[in-house]
Amino acid sequence: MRRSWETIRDLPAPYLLATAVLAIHLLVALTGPLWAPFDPVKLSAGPPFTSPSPDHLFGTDNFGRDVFSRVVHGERVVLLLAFSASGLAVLVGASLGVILAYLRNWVDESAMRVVDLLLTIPPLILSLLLLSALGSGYVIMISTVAFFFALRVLTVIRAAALNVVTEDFVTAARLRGESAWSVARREVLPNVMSTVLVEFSLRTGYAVLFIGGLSFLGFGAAPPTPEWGLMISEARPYVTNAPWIVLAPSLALASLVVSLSLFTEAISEALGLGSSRVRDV
Amino acid sequence: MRYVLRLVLPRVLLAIITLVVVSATIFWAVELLPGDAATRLLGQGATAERVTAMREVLKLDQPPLQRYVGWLSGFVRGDWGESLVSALPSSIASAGGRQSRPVADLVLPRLSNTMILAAAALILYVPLSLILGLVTAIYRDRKLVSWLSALVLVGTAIPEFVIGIVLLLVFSVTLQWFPPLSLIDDAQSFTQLLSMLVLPAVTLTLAMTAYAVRMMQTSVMAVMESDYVRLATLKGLSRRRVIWRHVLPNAIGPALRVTVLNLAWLIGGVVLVEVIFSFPGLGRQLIDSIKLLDTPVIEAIAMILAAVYIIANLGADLIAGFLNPRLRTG
Amino acid sequence: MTNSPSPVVAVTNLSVDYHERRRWVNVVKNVSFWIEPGETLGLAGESGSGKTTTAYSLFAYRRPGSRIQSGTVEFEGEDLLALDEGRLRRLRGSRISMVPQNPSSSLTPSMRVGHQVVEVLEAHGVASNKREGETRTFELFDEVGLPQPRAMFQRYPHQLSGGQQQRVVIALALACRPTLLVLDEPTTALDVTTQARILRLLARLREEHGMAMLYVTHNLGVLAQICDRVAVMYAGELVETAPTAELFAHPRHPYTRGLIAAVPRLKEPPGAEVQLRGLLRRDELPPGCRFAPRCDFADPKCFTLPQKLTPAGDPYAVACWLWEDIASGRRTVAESSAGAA
Repeated sequence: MRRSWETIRDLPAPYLLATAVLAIHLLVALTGPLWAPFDPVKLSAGPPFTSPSPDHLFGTDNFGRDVFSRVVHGERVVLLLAFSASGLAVLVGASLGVILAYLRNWVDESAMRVVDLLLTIPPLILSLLLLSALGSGYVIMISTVAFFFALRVLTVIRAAALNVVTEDFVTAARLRGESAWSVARREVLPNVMSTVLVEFSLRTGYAVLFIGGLSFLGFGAAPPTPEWGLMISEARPYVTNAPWIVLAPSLALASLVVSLSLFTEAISEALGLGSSRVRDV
Repeated sequence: MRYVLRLVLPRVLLAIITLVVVSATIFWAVELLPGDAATRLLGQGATAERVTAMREVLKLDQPPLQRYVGWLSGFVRGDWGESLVSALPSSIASAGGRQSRPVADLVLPRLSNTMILAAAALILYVPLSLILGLVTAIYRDRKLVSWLSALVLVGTAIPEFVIGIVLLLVFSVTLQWFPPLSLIDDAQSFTQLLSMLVLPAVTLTLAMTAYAVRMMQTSVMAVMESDYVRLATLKGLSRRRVIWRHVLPNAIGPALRVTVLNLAWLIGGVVLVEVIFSFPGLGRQLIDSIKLLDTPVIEAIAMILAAVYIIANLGADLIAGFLNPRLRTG
Repeated sequence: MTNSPSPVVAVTNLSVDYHERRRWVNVVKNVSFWIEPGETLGLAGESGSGKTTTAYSLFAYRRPGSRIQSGTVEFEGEDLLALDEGRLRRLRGSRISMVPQNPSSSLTPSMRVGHQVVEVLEAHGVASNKREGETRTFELFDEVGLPQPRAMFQRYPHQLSGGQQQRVVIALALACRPTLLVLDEPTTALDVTTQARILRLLARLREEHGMAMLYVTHNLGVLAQICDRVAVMYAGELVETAPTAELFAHPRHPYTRGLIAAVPRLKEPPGAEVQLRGLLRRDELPPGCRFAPRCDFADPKCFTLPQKLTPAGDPYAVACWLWEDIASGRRTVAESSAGAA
C-alpha cells in the first residue's frame, strides 16, 4: 500500500493535476446542490440568453434557466448514472470472469464463445434501439450500458484471474480441499482486485461518454433534467447566438472524462498494470 | 494454405453468426416499439376494420418467426421494404395502387453521404496517425514531442460531440469559415461540398487520431525496446535502416489493426457527428427514423451499420493474424 | 593497472545510472577491468548485479533511460564513450560484436535470417554486393555448424530451433571477424545438451580466430569451462578478479566463496551445497561494503567502510578488507555472527 502511494506521488504532474480535477468534480457532485445559486429547472431565473455575468456565471439558457446551477446540479446526475452503470458492469462482469476462470471447463468454454459473439455487437446502435423499444428510464439505460460494458469487463477480469488460478498457491488451496467459493474469495479475488479497480475507473470514464452520447441523441435523460449530454443537445440550436449554453456543459463533460482517463492511467501504473488498452466501445 | 483456412474460416463463421444474432435482436427490438406499423400508418383515428386490412397487407398477422425470416431473406436479396413515413397513408390504404417510397431509395443516398464523410475522415486520419505515432515514439526524448503526447492523451478522452461543438463554435460561429450545418444535399458545387465536409470529417479524424496515435506509439515503443532492435543497433546498422527494416515492419501490424478497429468505432462516432452538424447521412437518418417509428428504415440502417461494425472487427482480427509471420509461413 | 601487452579493451572507473521512478539509481559503480588479446574474461554475478549493463557499455550502448555517469572504455586505444555515433557504428558489429542472452527474441521476426547476416556484411563493407554477401553467409552458417546453409538462409527466426537461432546469432557476431566478442548469457535460454554444443562451438571458434571474449553469466560451471580469468560482480561493483583456476580453488571474497559453495557438485549428495542467505536488495545497500548485509563474516565496520578492488596477493584482486583474516581462518563464521548479533 505504501509502495503504491509512493508511486502515485512520483507520477508526472499531469496525473496529479487530473486527480485534483477529479476530486473537484466529486466534491461538486456531493455538495453542489447545497450551494448552487439557482434551482436548475426554475424557469426565468433571469432573462433568457443572458451572457455570463457575476449573477449568472455561465449565463442563462433559452428558458432563462441559470446555466451554472444546471451544470452544478448535473454533475450529480452524470456521475450517479456513470457510477451505477460501471459499478453494475464491474460487479457482474468481474464475478462472472472470476467464476469462469476458476471453472476452466466446458461451461467456461461455451460461455466465452457466447461472449465473443456478443462482443461483436455494435453497442451504440443496439442501445439506441433497445432504449427506444423498452422506454428510456434510468434503470433500463443503466442496465443496457452495464450489459455491454460487463462483457468487456468479463474478458479482462477472466484473463487476469486465469493468470492467478494457474499459480501454485491456488492449486495448493484446492488440494487442501478448500471449497471453490472459499478459494475464489480468499485467493483469487484479492489478487485480481487491482485489475478490478482499474476496470471500474476505466469503465466509469467510458460510461460518462456513452451515457452523455445517448442523452445527446435524445435517448438518455429526459428534459428538463440537467444532464450534460442532454443540455448540449438542447443548446445546439442556439450555438450561434448564445455559445455559453453549449460550451459550459461541454467543458464540464470534457474535463470530467479527461481527468477520469488520466486518473485511470495513474492508478494503472501505480498498481503495476500496463497502460493503454484498446478502446472498445 | 491450410493455415490460412484455419485462421479465416472460424472467424468468418463467427461474424456470420453474429450478424444473424444482431439481425434477430434488431428485429425484436423494433417489434417492441410502441404500436404496430398498421396503426402508425393509419393514425390514431383509424377504424378497426381498416387497421385489420392494413395488417394483412403488411403481413403483420403472420407469426413473428415467419415475419423475421421473411424480412431477413428480403433484406439479403435487397428488398428492404417501404418507408412508413414518406408514404401518404391514403394512397397506401387504397389497395392495389400503393404509392410509397422504397426504403432503399431513402437509405442509399444517405449511405453514400456517410461513406463520403467516412472516406474524408479516413484520408486525413490514416497518414496523420501513422506519422504522428511513429515520430512521437522515435523522438520521445524531445520536449516538444512529450507535449504532443500529452495532448494526444487528453485528445483520446474528449467525447466527439464535444470536439464537434467546439470546432463548430470556433470555425463556423466565430471565424465563419465553414457553414454550421452540413446540408450536403443542397451543395451546388464541389467546393461547397468540401467546405461542408470539413468540420464533420475533422471532428471524426481528431477523435480517431488521438486514439490511434497512442496505440501506434505504444506498439512502436515496444518494438524499439525489443531485443532484436537492440541487436540491430549493436550490429552497426544505420539508424535509418534500423527503423525502416527492423522497427516498422514489426510495429505496423498492431497499428493497422487499430486502424480497422477504428472503422468499427466510426459507426458510433458517425451517428453523433452527423447529428451535431445536421449531416444527412445514415446516422442522423437512423435517429430521425427511430423518433418517427419508421420501422423498415430503422431495420435497414441498423443492419447496415451493424454489418460494417462486424466486418471491421473481422478485418482487424484477420489483419492481426496475417501480419504474424508465424501464421503466414506456418 | 596492466603490466601486459596492450589490452584489447580496458574499462576504467565505469559508473552507470538508471532512471527509475523519476530518480537516478546507480547500477554500476567504479568498475575497472581489461581483456588481453585472445583472452576470455568471465563476468559473474546474480541477476541485477549490473553485469549485463557493464557488457553493453563495451558498445558505448545506453539503454533508454540510462546514463553513463563516468568512466572510459578504451578499445584499441580509443575511448568509445567519447566517439560520435558514426564512428561507433563502424566499430559495432565489425570490431566488437554481441551474442545476446535470448536468441529467440534477438532476431527480427519479420526478416529472413540470412538477410539479417547479409545486412551486417554490407553495412561494414565486407561484402560489396548481394551475391558476395550470400556466399559469405553460407560459409558462416557452415562454420557455426548449421545444416543446409542455403535452406537456413531463407528461414524466418520462428522456423528455427533455439540452438539454431543461437548459431545464427553467433554467425552474425562473427561475420566481420571481430577482435572482441561479448557474450551475454549466451546459453541460458537453451537446454543442457544444446548448451554444451554451443560451448564447444565457441571454444573452437576462439581457437581458430583468436579473438578476445567477455563472457557474462551467472553460471559458474560454464565459466570454469571457458574462461581464462573471472571477475565477480555484486550489486554493481567488482568484488574479486582472479585466474579461473585460482578463483575456484581459493576464492578470497566472502561473496565468491558463497557462490562457489552454492554450486551443486557431483561428488556430494544433493542438498550439500550451501546457499547464500538473503537476496540482493538494491534499495537497501549500506554505505560501506554492499555485500555486508548478506555476509557471514561481516563486522559492524563493514557496513560503513566502502570497499575497493585492491591487489590481494598475486594474481588476485579483492574488495574485502578482511580477506586475509578470512583466508587464514583467523575470522570464522560463528565468531562474526555472534559479533553481529
